[in-house]
Amino acid sequence: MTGGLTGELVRLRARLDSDVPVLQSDLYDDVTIWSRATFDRWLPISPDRSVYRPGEPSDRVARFSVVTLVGDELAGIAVLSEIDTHNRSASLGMFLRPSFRGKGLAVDIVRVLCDYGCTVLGLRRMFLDTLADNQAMQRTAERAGFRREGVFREAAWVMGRFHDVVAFSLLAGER
Amino acid sequence: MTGDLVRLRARIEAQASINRITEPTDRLASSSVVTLADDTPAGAQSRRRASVVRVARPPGGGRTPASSLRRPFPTNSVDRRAGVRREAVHRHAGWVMGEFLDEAVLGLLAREWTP
Repeated sequence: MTGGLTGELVRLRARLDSDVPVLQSDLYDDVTIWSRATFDRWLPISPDRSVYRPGEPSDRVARFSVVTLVGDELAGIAVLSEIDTHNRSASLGMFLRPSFRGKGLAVDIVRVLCDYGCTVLGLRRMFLDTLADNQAMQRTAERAGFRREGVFREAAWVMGRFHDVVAFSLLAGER
Repeated sequence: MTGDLVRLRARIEAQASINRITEPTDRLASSSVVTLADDTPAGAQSRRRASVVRVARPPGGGRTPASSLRRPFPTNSVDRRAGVRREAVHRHAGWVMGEFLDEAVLGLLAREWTP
């Protein structure tokens, strides 16, 4: 298998073409879940144009597929985006397939992403935003050592109404 | 766009550099600020900072976030007078001349805004 970054439960590796149909089906085709995860408008997109296709390598965004250490199963995606080499910060995101939620993978993924950002890229500040009613993501952030920075009021239009968005951050020295 | 003291207009060539003129876009409305009194550019003056706020067009159009990056105190006092609320402080978000500074994020909802 290709290399990657290893945590206690998962490995983060580059996106493979063979990941795309699974990710498209499990992460994109559920309009509500996708809207809640991305705060973005869902559009009908065919699998051959999937947002989960492997892209060109970029200094601004690092897209990973997440696989389990046991069984090497595709569990979801992890992304470091808005990579800012001047302010040395990046935004962190993840999205797990339904059958891999609630298994404690999320905290491991956040830790591996932070390790990649702070150790490999030399970043100093990791941040993530989540819906105010997404208790699971907020617990994950706190368990990974993130601190709450504030609430953006009615910042995300998700399935018919504006939701508050909670901002979290972790500084390199707090890991 | 005209206020009590200033007018916001499209950029013109003489104010190029990093604030160069770009194609119109749905994602960013970037203007120059000029005084109503004598039509001089005010956007670049260091102490007259009612001026440069970043405005991003949100989905649904209900919210106007403003970010007073790297100079929290002078700009914040102005923004609060405009009715904008502080929603978050991003710790160590800006690298400015040798140190990381916090960034205050201010938000105004359409229903809180009175023209």
